[in-house]
Amino acid sequence: MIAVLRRGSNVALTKEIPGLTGVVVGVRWKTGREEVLGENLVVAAVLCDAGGKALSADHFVFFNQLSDPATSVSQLEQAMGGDDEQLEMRFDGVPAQVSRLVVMLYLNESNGLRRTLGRLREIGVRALDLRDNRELARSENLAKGLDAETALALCEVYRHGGGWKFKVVGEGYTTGVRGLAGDYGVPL
Amino acid sequence: MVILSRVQSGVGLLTVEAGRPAARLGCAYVLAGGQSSIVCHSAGIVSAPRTGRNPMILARHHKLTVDLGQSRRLARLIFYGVAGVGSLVVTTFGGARIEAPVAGPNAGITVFLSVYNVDGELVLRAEPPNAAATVRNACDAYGFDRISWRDEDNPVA
Repeated sequence: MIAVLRRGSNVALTKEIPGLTGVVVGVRWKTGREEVLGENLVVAAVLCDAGGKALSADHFVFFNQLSDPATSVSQLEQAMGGDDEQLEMRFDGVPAQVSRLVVMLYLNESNGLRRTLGRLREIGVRALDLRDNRELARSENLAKGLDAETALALCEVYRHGGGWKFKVVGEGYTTGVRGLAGDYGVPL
Repeated sequence: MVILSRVQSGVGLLTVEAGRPAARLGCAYVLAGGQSSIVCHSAGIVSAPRTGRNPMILARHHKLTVDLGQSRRLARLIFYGVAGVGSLVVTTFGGARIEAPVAGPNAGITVFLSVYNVDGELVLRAEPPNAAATVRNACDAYGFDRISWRDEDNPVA
């Protein structure tokens, strides 16, 4: 099962693979000559309740907070298999009050020149089987259509009918991480 | 003393600004790799690292900004200047505002604020008002002993 998903499409993970214990979500990008753009890209995950809000600031997983308190979602310090960043998600450890795990990308506001995600040549996300890194699904190139955006909700891994599904979101924000944090209730 | 959360310590810019235009406002830093120097607009050192397109610390007149996207490379900082500037205002990316009192003699260099990176959380502490004769003396007093100095106020380029 390898599905290439467009924005808004989803795939049933545990329905298709009943023994699935979790996924590794990989994010990869191509910036061309824009090296500074790549240096300022940050991948993060938010553990959200049924209302789509983060349980707390401790449930924002990124380079400076490598795991949630239950260690159900962890950012890997070294990504493999061609991904630039990877997040590991263990389904049995996800707190019961968490309904969805949202993976996002943002440009950190830095001291350098301002950039936008419109300069990305490629950005994609994929889901791998946690047990053997077998690829289960991947998104289309989400860079198409980006312009002045400085943050992007990439995908969601969410509970559905007692199992878990994977959905490609691809929704951009011109308000950067502030906009994302506001939508998902992450206190900055 | 104020402890920023890991999110506050790792997102956007941390801005440190003198309440009024300050004389010789600057900061000394130590990176996780051990490199150490100062950033001070009036001394002509406006960024750290001094070269590159993505500076971690940038000085503009009476304001310094720290890129927290690089906070894992940062070990500690002190902010200094000539006292009598009123207050030092620290603003997080999310808009939290912390005012540090600026007191001390109107001559000499006073360290106003220290910032320590403790396992990903930035700890900000207002420092007691003790003036040193030079920037070098002030840095030495806070253990910034890896800076190579050209003179009493300027490091080797």
